Amino acid sequence: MTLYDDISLVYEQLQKLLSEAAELREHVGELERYNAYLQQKLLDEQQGSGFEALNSLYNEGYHICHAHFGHQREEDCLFCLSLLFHEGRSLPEDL
Amino acid sequence: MKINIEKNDLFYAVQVVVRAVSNKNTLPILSGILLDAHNNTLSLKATDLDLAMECSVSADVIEEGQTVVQGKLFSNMIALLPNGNIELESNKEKLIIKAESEKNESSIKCLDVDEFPMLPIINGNVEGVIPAGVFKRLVRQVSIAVATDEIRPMFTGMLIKLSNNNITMVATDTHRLAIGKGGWQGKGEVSLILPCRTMKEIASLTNNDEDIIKLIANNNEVYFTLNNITFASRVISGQYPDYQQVLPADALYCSYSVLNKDSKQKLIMALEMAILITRDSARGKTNIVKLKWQDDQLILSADGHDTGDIHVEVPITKEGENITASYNARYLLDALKIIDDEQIAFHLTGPTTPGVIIPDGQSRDNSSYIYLVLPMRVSN
Repeated sequence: MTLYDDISLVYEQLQKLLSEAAELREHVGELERYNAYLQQKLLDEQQGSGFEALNSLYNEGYHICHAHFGHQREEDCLFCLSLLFHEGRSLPEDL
Repeated sequence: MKINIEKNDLFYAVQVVVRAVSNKNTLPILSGILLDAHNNTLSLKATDLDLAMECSVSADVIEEGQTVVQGKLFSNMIALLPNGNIELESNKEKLIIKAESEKNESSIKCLDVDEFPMLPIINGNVEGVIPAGVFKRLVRQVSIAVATDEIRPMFTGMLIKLSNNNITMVATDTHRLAIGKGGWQGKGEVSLILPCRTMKEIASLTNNDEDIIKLIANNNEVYFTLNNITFASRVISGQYPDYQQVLPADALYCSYSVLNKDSKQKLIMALEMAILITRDSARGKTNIVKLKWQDDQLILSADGHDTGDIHVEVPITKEGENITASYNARYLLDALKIIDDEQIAFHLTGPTTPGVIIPDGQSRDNSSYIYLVLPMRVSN
């Protein structure tokens, strides 16, 4: 085997490694995107359930604002509604 | 203690400080007024531990000293005395009151001076002055939204914010929120929650809008001085909720209407009538009125079921959507009555979301007064 053949073999292996590295990078990218998607989904679910719980508590007649959390209310409360609005980005449908 | 003093001077000072005399019987000494004679001055002091007042008047001090007498009794007795010179002389047991012109001599028992609480001496990093007229306007316009429910002490107070030559007062009962803004000249920044009663008492001490109220405050205490009267107030502890967060964002406003002088008066009258009609409603929620902003009319209607009903149409100038919403009539009436401007503006965000009432011609951001009110949810 000549020196030229050796260099060709090394070059071939190098090309193969570079190709594998590119594939791995692409796969990592896919995994990172999927991970971000799952994290966002989990966050959305957590926020959604929190909002639903607050909304439910408020509609059962309790304050959810910081000042009176858990206290019974008789009328609508500006601070509770503001909190629901900011949590849900819109007022609950039944308001 | 022995002094000679003009009846009118004494009566004035007694009338001022008797407001701070406690009506509760828990601590008998708090039912008293401290009389402190020194340097040809008679200082009268009273406190119920929520507020403390001191009023100083000139007197001919023959013998310096202090004594404490029952505040209400002393006030009522001085009121009955004829004008002219009065001599006050005290020993450990009693205060002798002599009206020279009538040869009238009476005495009342003294309380223990040593039991009278020391009034606070404040070292404040915030200090400045505010015209009495501005202070009175702010207190009058903002105090309507203070909660009367003692279960929530924070909301029985008014938030006072001092910064950058601006004074802002805020009050809310969580169904409505009032914000008043004015100018003050001073240094430092502070936010305090003060009892509404304190603020009203200070505002009632003068009828002259040109008077100057001096304020000294730190984060825990506040001192007001008006002419010869000094006023210290308890500060309500706690973090006042972020009231800015309940103000709707600009993008949410969808209806803007203006009531001129006549329309404002018509609406006030209609609301007063609606309150009469709905007062004894058997349906639980009272004073509910329906307001319909429709083109160039504001239509008020209320149904008292057993008592009657009302329908009033008020001309308006409107831009934006037609909206129908129900309100507590008293909440609206309070705001319309205390806004001095002839024209008012309704800025609405929807039938179930907060609306704003402000003097017309002012922007929501810089208005001297903002009244935010929440519609009521009414089941049909």
